[in-house]
Amino acid sequence: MTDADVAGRLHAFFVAMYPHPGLTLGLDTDLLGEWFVDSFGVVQTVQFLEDTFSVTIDRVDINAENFGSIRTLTAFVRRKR
Amino acid sequence: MAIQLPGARRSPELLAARDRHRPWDVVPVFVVLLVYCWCYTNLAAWLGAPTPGACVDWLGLGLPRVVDDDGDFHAKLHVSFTGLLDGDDERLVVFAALFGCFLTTYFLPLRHKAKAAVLWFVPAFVALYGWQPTLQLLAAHLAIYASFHARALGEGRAVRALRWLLVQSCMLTIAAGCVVNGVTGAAWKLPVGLVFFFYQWARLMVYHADFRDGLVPRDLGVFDYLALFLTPVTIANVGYAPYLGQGHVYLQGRLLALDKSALVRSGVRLWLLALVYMLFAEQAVAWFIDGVQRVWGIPVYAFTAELVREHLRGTPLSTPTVLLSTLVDQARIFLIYGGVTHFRVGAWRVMGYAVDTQYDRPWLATNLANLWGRFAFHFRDFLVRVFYYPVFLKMFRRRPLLRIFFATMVATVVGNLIWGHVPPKTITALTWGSLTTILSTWPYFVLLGLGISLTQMVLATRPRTRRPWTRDRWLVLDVVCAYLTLQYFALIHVFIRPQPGGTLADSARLVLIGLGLGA
Repeated sequence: MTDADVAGRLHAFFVAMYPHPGLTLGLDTDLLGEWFVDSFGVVQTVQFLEDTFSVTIDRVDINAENFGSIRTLTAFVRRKR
Repeated sequence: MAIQLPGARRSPELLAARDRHRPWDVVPVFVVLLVYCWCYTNLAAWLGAPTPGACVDWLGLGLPRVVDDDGDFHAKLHVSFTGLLDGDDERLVVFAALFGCFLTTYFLPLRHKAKAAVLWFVPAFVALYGWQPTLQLLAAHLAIYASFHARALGEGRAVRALRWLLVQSCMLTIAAGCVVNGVTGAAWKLPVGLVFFFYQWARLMVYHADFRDGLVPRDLGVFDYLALFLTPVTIANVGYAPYLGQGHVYLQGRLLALDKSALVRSGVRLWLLALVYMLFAEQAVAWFIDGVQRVWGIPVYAFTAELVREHLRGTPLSTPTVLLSTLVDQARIFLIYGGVTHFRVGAWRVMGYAVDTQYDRPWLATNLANLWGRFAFHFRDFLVRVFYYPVFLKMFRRRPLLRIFFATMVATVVGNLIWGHVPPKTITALTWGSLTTILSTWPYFVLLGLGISLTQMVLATRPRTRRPWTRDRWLVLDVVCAYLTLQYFALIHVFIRPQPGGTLADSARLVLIGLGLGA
């Protein structure tokens, strides 16, 4: 799976789970500041990453550097796989 | 609502750019603290200026629940566990220390800000509590610091056990003290400095979690450590949201997360909002209760505890009385708690930390999970960090719903009851009775946990189709959901207000009356 595939799946997930009429979700959109409605979004993202990309996530992985945007999440998935 | 996670890095250049002085920023801080002094201390009387009470009388406002006997306003801000000074003078010390701390943290270079905060805390604490409690508190924190950061101790199993013992010393002391009381009848009385230290149990646990995750530098300076726990912000209302400020990673991430002047302005705005909440909470509730009684003839009690006592006396209570009384109690708590926590968050902000508000318009929550984040942001984050993630990331990985349910229940029942509510109720009353009383309120925690976990399970399986409070035809549904969320949260508080002579069955009957299922 290429980075573009990972980013595409993440994009589809975020748009489906957290619709924002009128806002466009880009690769660098600030997920923590602008996209998630609450911190449960982070938990759902962890579940999605584990189910979809077969990665195992630890507590130290849950940080702003990894979960900041689709781009950083894609890089995180690449490192984890 | 921005979501906070550890790990946001900022370059030294960016921090320096945000640390630019604008001397005019001093003016609003000084003026607002002067207003606080006028409202809550004897400053007006000392200066021969009109007191708040005199002004209210002159305006013919008649606000009995706002004005105090000695002419200033009823204070929701207080300093606990000390009687060296009069309450008004205690507040004057706190406001003066905050202003001094603001001036030094604002104008000193970045590397000296932590020292300045601690150096303002120490004399203020000595003035309020005396030398002995100050030394106890400093000794306790220095022991923690040494166990985490003294290189000579190494990183062996014994040191890790020592850290755990020190961080959990609050809970261990509570357990031992209550058991000793139950067995022998003797009641321990803790020294005041230790009481103050124990009130930081949750923040110490977050610090420990930060450290275990490798996010705290091993060579952290002693002042950088102390500045997390010992600043003038932490003195007032120590029992209100004691987890506010969280640990090292959170505060470091929030230091100058915005331009310094913007932070000062937002802190001052919060202080003004806090003043409105604290001044008018009781009066607004009294007006509401009078209005409901006059217009609809429905008796409403200002406190859920009062409602429970009336129920135990055999007073017939209607469903509207139960629903409105529990709701009014929450509204009062929200306003006072919101006011006090806004004051403390405002103080962090003027000191340069973009700390999130503990309290963010809880009436906009359309489900219980969201309500908790809006009502107690820092507490929710403490539970998520210390209880939720460890369980969620270790158990039932192949069963998503069970995984969410279990992690949420551990956080909201075990974490919330034992690590959230036992310490404040028992630190100053180490008795078997106080421990069993707080543990007997477990139905509240189970009902809250079930509400939140079921909400999360629904959210996990059903993609959201819209954001709450979007102005469309579903807006009415948001209003209904917001009311139901608040009402459920308010109603289950019947279980957390046990009264002498009452049983669990009595509380359950009262809740059923609230649901229209009992008489």
